[in-house]
Amino acid sequence: MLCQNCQKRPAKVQLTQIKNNAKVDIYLCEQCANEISHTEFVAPFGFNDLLFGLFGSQIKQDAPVALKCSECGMEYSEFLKSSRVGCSKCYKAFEPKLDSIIKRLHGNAEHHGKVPNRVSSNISVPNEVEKLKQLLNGAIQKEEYEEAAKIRDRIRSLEVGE
Amino acid sequence: MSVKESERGPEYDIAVTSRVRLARNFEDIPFSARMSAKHQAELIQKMQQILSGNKAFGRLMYADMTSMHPIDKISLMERHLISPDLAETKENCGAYINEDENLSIMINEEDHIRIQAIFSGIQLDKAYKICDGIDSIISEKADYAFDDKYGYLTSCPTNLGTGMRASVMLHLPALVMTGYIKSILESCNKVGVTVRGIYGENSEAVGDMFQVSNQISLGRSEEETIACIDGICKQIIDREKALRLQLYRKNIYKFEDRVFRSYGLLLNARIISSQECFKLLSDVRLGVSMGIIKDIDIAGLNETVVLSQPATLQKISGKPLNHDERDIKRAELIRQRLLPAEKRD
Repeated sequence: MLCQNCQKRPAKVQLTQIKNNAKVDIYLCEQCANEISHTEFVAPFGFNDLLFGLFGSQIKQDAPVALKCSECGMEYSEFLKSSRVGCSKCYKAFEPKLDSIIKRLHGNAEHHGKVPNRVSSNISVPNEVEKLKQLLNGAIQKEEYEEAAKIRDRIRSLEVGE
Repeated sequence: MSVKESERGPEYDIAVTSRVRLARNFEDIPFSARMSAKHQAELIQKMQQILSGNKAFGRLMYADMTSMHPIDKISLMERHLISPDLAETKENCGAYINEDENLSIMINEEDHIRIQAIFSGIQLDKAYKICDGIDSIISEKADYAFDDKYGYLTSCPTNLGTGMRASVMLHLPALVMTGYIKSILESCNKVGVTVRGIYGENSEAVGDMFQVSNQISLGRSEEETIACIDGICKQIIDREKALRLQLYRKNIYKFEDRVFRSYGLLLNARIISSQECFKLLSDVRLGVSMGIIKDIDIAGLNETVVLSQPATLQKISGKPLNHDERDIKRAELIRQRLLPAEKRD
C-alpha cells in the first residue's frame, strides 16, 4: 500500500484522527506522518525485522554465493525473508553463512542437553560421556569416591561400546 | 492458565503459571515453510498413530482447528492451551489436550509439533518432566530432525538446541508502580532472558502480568535453562514482595484505598472493558495476596481473569456477543464471582 499523502513511498503508519466526531484512519509513510502530525513516528519493528537485520548485515559482506538446499530447494535468500528453514537438511546447506548467525543468536553453536532415543549411537555417546565426566569431576571434588568409581565404570563401558 | 486448574503451586500468588514447551520436527517430513496440505495431513495421521492408545498421560482429546468454531479456538488460546498462531490457522492443524488441561501437543504450528505443559506457581521442573516424558515416547516411535551440533532442528534458528522455551508468568504490580520493572527488564535481557506480555511474542503487558522466559536454547541444557529461569524468577518475586511491603508501610491508607477502590468498581460496575478489568483485577489480586482483602481466593481470581476474556466469555454465554454486550456480560460475571457466596443472586 502506498502512502495516501505522497502516493510514492510505502505506507507504514496508521494515523487515526477525529474529524467532526468521526474516526478517520489514514495510512502514511513515516516521513508524511511526521510532517502531518508533528510527532516523531517510527514504524513498528517486529521480530522478523530484527532477525533480518541480523541475517541481512551478513549478506552485504559476502554477497554472491547462492546457497540452496538440495533436499527441499529452498534458497538462502528465501530463508532470509521468512527466517524459517524448509527442511531438516537446510541447516547443513546454509551452514557456511548461517553458522556465525546462530552463534550470534545463541552466543554458542554447540548443543548441550537431551538427545532423542532414536539416533545413531555416535551422536548420543559423546554427549552422555561428557555429561558423565562432569559428574565424575563433581564427585571427586566432593570426595565421594565410591560414586566416582561407579561413574568411571559407566564412562568406560560407554567408550568401549562406541 | 487452564480453567480447571485449581491447584496451588509454590509462590502461586505472584507466579501465576509455569510453562514449558518443546519444539520438535520429524526428519522425513518437510518443515512448515515447505509443507503441502498432503504433508500436513500425513503429520496429523502420524501423530494420531503415535498418541492413540497411550495411557501414560491420561486421555488426550484432539481439538481439530479445521472444524472448530473461532470462539472455541480463541478460548483455548486465552487458556494458554494453544498458541495465537494455531488459533488463527484455518486448516490442517490441531492440538491434543489432556483432561486436566495442563498438557497440550500442538500439530502443524511453526514446528511439526510443540509439546507444552503448564502448572500453577513456580513449577518449571514439573512442567519439563511431563514434556520430557511425552517427548521420549514420541522419539521412540519416530525419527526427530536432530543434529549433533545444532541439537533439535527447528523451523526458526532461534529455537535450535533444546527446542525448549521455559516461561513463568509473574504478577508484578509493585515493580510496575515503582518503575523498577524497567531495570529488571534490562538486566534480564543481558543474561539471555526475555520478559514479555502474557501471550508471548509481540504482546503487551496487561494487568501487570509479565512472562519471563529463556531467549537462548542452543548451548545450554534443559536443566541449566530451567535453573536459570527459576533462579531469576525467585529473585524477581523476592524483590516484588519487599517492594509491596515497603509501599504498604509507606502509606497504608493510600495502598488500601487503591485496592478497595478497584474492588468496589469491580463489585459495582455494569459495563467493563477487558483492559479496565485486568487493571482492576491486578489491584484486587495484590490486595488478596497481601491479606488486605480476605474473602477472595487467588485461584478463583485467576479463573475470573480467564473467564472474563472476550472469547471465553462468549463461550460460557453460549452465543456470540458484540463488543458492548461483552462488556456488560463481563461486568455481570465479575460481580457474581467476586461477591461473597451469600450475597450472590
